[in-house]
Amino acid sequence: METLQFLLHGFAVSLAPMNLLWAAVGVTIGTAVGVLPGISPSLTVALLLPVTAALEPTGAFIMFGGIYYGAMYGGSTTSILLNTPGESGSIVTAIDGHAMARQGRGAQALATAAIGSFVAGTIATLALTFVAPAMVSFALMFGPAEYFALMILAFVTVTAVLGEALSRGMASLLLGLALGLIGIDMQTGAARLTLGVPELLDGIDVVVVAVGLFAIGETLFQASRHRYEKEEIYAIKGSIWMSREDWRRSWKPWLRGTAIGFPIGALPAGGSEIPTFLSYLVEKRLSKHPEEFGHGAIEAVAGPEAANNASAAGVLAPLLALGLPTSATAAIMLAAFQQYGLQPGPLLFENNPELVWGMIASLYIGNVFLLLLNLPLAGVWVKLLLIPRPWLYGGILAFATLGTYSLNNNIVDLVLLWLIGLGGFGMRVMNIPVAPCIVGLILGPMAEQQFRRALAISQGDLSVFYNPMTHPLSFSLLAAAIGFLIVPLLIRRRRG
Amino acid sequence: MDSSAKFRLGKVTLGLLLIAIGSFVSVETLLLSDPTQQSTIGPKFFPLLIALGLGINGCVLLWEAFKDVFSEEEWPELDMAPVAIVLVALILQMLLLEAAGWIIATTLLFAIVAQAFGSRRVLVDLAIGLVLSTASFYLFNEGLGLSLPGGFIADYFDGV
Repeated sequence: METLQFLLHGFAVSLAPMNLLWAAVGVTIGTAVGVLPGISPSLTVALLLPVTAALEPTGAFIMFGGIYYGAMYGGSTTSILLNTPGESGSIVTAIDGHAMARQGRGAQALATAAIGSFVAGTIATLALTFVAPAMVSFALMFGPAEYFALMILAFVTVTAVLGEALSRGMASLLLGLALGLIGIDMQTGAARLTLGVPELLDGIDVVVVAVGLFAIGETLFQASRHRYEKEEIYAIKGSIWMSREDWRRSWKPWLRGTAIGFPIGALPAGGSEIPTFLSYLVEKRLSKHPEEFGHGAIEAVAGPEAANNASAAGVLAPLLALGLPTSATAAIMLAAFQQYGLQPGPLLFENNPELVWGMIASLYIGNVFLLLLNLPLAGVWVKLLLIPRPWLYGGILAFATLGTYSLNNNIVDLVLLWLIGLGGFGMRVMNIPVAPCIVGLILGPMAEQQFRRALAISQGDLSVFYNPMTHPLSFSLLAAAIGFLIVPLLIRRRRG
Repeated sequence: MDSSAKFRLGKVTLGLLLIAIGSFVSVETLLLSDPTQQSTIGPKFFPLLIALGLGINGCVLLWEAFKDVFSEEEWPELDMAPVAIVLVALILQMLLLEAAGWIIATTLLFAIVAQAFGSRRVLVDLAIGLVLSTASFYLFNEGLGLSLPGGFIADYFDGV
């Protein structure tokens, strides 16, 4: 089968010694940076972008894949040991994972997370291998109208399917869209919202926004709270290996988590909250020890962790096949592709198969490295958590400004970082989700382009978007978007 | 003011902010001169749409704040002094960066931020900051081919 051929070729690329090295390096720094509290996987990927900038594309993306998976693993380490989930996907892990840590069973929690991530990652990457090309053939049916409708669906799912108030999710999205407006309009060359500042003609880089919101915003928030919060780290006591019982209770949650995580991650539904929460509920329902949930049940870590990793792999499907980012991290990876002048999508599979398949193949390898690296090194990562907060945040800001400045060697980027950081602080305090802003920033301009292109082709005929006869795909996507928007509101109305 | 009232005030502020940004975007967009190239939908359409969205969203937030919806949410206790210190440290780094170079600017950033987080050991912080900025300077400039500014120190060495 053609796909397998491509995959084998991809393995040939990724097993080249240099590329193996990049995979190993990527996984290591991804984990190390992801472990640091306050640094979510999206931020890790954003911060390490300049590091990959110096490499040629294949190596860079292999390293990127490693960083991505590594950062996810690092993030679970922090949520288990410090009860500070770096991002929404780790919230659920923190519940029982941290409870286990408090009982001195932190090592087992980390182990089940690591092995579960490996199992989920491998199976999910396998699924990705087959789903991505299938999506590509599906994508070939997409015209501008369909792409626009798909992006609208992505906007809706990233804002509406949150536990938070819709008004705040929307605010975040709209702010992201507004930021995306800044710069030269592609179609007509008009300079929008640049306020006469020439550096803004190219628009605001996604990395500046991500680092500003996540790193600066989080640091400011922690600065405001450090007087009130004590650092508590739980030492790992006793054996670091999982017992028979632990294995027995973990393996099915691993598989179920993967099955839940991958499809949801692959759909243009934003966020890793859904698969992880769903996995938690499923495991609780099916468990023989439901009373332990919330107090350190190992299934409650095994399932959601697997779901989180599987959905991370799933997110790569629409990203690579359609060029559609469905999470903040994916948006940053898209920016990385664009930095090299590459546009993910069917054309990329056509024109640069070694790059895409090399990256996919190295994900398998990265997974193996992760497992080998992290099981024995759990103790070492824990030491990283002992870095005193003052130095940790000093370092985070140093690295954040480095990454931002080196994008364009321009002070204006640092000014933007400052302003956006301040905004991020406000968002953190007001509990406004950040992901919609990033997705809005990067998808907004793309959606606008597709909208205008569609109308240019249809010569002003709006029905090209919703006519079920001529454009059933676009119609269904928009209908789904409206559904996602209205249904939760109706449900809430009925309850309240 | 109790914390849930503070939160509502926050929502009011946010609502007003959104309306302000929406107005700003509309004004700037309407001031755009008409483009030389004609397209079916011009460059003004989307910005105005987004501005409208911001305005509506702002009003919804104001309405929510007055209606006391979601009043269980609380304004967390915040100590603003460290926040101000960090913000000033960042500005300082920005101002010094091109004149004095990466190493000096970032060392100061590091030390001041550490102080904001409660460290009492100024000299140690400065030392660590120096090591970190020097290491990152050489690593990223030599190792990765980026170019962080050297400032007057590097200029001095270049001249020597």
